[in-house]
Amino acid sequence: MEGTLAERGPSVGVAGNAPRSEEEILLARAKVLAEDRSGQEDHSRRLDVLLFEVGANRYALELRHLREALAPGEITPVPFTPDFVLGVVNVRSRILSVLDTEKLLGVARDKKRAPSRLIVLEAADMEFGLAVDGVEGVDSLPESQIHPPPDTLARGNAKYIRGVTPGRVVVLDGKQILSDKSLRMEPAGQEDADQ
Amino acid sequence: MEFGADQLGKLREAFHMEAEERLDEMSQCLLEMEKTDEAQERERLLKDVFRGAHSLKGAARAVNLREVESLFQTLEEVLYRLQKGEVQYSAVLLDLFHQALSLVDGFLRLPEAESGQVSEQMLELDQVLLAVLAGEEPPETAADRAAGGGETPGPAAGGSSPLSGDVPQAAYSASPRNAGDDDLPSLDDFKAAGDDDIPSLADFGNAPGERNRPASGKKSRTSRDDLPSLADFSSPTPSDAPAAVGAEEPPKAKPAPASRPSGGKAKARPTSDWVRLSTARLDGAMEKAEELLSAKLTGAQHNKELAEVAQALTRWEKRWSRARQELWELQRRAGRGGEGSRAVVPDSIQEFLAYNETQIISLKQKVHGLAMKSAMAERALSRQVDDLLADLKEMTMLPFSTVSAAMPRMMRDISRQLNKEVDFSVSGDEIRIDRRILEEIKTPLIHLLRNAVDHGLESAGERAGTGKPKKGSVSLGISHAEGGRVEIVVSDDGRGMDPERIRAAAVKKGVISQKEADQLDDRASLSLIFRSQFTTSPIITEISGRGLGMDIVAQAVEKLGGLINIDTEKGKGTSFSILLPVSLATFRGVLVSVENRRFIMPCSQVEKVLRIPFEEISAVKDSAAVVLSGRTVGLVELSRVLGIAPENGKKRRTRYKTAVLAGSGDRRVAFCVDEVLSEQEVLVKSLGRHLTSVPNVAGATVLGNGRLVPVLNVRELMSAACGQRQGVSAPAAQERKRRILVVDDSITSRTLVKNILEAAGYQVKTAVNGQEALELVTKEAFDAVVSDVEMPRMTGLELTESIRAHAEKADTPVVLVTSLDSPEDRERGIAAGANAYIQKSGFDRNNLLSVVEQLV
Repeated sequence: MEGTLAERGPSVGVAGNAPRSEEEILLARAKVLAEDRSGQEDHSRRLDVLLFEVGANRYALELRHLREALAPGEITPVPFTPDFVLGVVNVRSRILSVLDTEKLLGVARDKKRAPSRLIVLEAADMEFGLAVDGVEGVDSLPESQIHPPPDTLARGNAKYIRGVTPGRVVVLDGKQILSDKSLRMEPAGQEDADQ
Repeated sequence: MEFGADQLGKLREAFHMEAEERLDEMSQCLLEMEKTDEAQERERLLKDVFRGAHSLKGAARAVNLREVESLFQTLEEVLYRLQKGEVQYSAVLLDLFHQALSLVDGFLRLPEAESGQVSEQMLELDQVLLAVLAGEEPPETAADRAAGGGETPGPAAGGSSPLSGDVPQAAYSASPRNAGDDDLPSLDDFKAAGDDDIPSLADFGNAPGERNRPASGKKSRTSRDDLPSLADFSSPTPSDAPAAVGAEEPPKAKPAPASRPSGGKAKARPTSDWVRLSTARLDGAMEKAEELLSAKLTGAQHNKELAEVAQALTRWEKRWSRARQELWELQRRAGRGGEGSRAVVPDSIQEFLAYNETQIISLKQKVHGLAMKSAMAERALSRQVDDLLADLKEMTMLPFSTVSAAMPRMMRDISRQLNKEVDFSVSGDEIRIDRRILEEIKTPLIHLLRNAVDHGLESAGERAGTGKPKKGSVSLGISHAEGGRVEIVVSDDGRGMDPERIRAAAVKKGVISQKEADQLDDRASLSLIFRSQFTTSPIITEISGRGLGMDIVAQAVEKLGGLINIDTEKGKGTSFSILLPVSLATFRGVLVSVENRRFIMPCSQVEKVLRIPFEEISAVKDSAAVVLSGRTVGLVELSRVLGIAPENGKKRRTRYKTAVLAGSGDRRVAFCVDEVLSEQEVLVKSLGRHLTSVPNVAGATVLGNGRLVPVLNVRELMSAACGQRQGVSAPAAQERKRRILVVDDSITSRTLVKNILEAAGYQVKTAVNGQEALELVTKEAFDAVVSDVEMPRMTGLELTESIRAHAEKADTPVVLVTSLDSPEDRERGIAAGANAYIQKSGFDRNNLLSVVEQLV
């Protein structure tokens, strides 16, 4: 979708060989702007993250994987789902599944209380909410300060952890969580049916 | 496909609209391809163009525009090879593509009578492209001329030009396909023509594997390799599939106007009366309108609560007026006591009471007024929402012909392949059904029709023996049924189903035990075929017999809230009738509560709600049961099936159990619940992108009070309750390695098969011919034999016969792997007693493994 304007512009030129129109000039500028941004990303490597708490731990997730934070409302449990699925909630008339952050990370406490917030992770083909105890706010972390997680943390589900900051914030790997096939509940035996 | 002139006209109109859009998109992609240097980007664009060509080819075929179809078919082929890197990408080639697009565009713009010249040009270009396929350099001259503008209006790259006859001779000789093209359309073609006309991405991804791409420019559509694989039939329709010919994925931003020439000879098409909408937008509107239903339900709920408040106030008024009466009485008596006697209630309080009374009565009146207005508003809203939904539903409905139109062709393919003569008829295809239902029901119907030909109809010889006409007949009919539903009937006049055989096969497959089988009546036995992994076919062929089909059919029907019934008479034929709702949007459901949790059970799967006195519950072995109208029905705690731990709170003590009697096919299970709360209209929503498929749960719905409630899939739940596992069950005894004997005289084939099987965990022994194999089988134990057919000394067929004749080893499954594949060969295989018959040409490891896995 983002590309449509840029794609359309040059075709005007090819088709009509018209003199540079206002539209073209604007497009050229837009392109320059777009390039600049990608260039910047290269040298200053910082992660824009949302900081949140679950239990005694502080976590961070990159903003680009997040859509919003919500008040959880009533979470309806769904039978026959894995134990890291707390249930589903009704978000603006759409149903969203809610995952238990600690079960997901394998650091579950014994005592549970109702989550105070949901943060919604989103990718092109996936979305779900993570139940958290509180949202601290947005921060920008220098990538150089994110170190591999200590062994103590690795005991849990280390594959979802990108690293830890000196301030002991556990930086989660949103991409990994969103793309992990094992977290999805998809039609079983579909391949069989396709034969 | 036989169309009336009228229908063809309509289809053509749709085709024109589709073509216009697609041509625009394709030329846009081509233009971008010229500009990009990135291989990846180019690849993506190439795919888009390929998809466009593929769709237009199919669509053109559907409306009988041979020239267009032919050109796009060639174009598609070139694009395919280009993707594979077998044809070199060049500017000249791109020009040819542009030319093709503009020619077709021009062709479609001209009135039919005047399109002759353009049509010739298209044929010429077709030849040039074929020459490219044959490995020749694209003729510069032609391309030059193509680039040089011409009389036909075309897209941006320039007009077209008539290609003169200097096409290399080789092009003609390399393409004997124009003549033979129509002889035997492959399933692939069927897909293109009928299967929504729009290949999805996934579809596209499959394409290379599915189709036969001859290495030379030769096109032999009659090649056996074109025989369809099961995958062709059963690949589910993508949910975002388009509504009809020419209504599909949301149109991308319209390309620059420059690519769409106006005026000239262009035929003005009537557009003002029609608006093209992408189905996505239509679905979006439908979704929003369905949301209004929640609003309506919420409104009704609030209205009810308001009425309750009003009633409470009325009750208060009554009580107060009694109390006031008493108070006055007291007051009066006290007043009579004389001047000095004290008032019962001080004046200030009396005043306050009077004030209170007026306040509350006025409040009551207001609330009553409000409740009345709210009720009126709710009625109005309710009516409007229902009207709107009904209109929208109407818009999402399509005639059944959108699905059935492709069936005759498919049936022809199948019957040829199986060497059976079939008279196929379709009736009632003008009946309109929700597009989403049509999409879902298509695959099941294909399964049923395929089964009808493969299993239902006898071979010609067998038919002659029973005095039936040589030509079998299969029909697909749709008609309106009661309760706003439709009934789809697939029937054949074949051999019918034999309950006895079905029971035997079910026992053999381990679907049920012998004891269970003995208890089943004939009707119940028939419904066994809907269990997964069930097949009665003595042989596994490419067409059917894997025992997956009927299970899928039943599931799809159930998912749509429909019912399927079998009617069969031995020797006379079989008919499957499917009752379906006409629209999907809402259904009625029973709201139940279990351990303080609520669930919806769709009414279509619930027979009735029962109140069973404790004394009527009997224990059969370890499980509870109840006798209902003479039939023993299992009684199961819903909480236990759902895995909900009982709460420790006190339960209402009752002398009976409340249960919901669920029925699917001939199975009945009574689920005990704590309470049946109501029956209501339900709008099912999916559980979101993360939980796309949860066993036993169909989705969730929002109650009037905003609470989410899971909607149960009762059919699956019944299976779960019966302890039957859904889907493919893991082999129970995996400890022992299965031993397979592979027989082939070719060392290559032998090693290939051996490696595949060993990689899958089988223990493999090999033999070089039938005789050696037979000796081994006699001496050692094998779980299955996989054998070639043509071998020296003893053929696979002879080997099979010998094994079948063997006293102890007669049960050993035999899979024949062969390059021979004609119906006769297959019949010989069946006659010899083989369990499965796999073609070498269609040989892939998964196919072999799944067949073997099923047999051992």
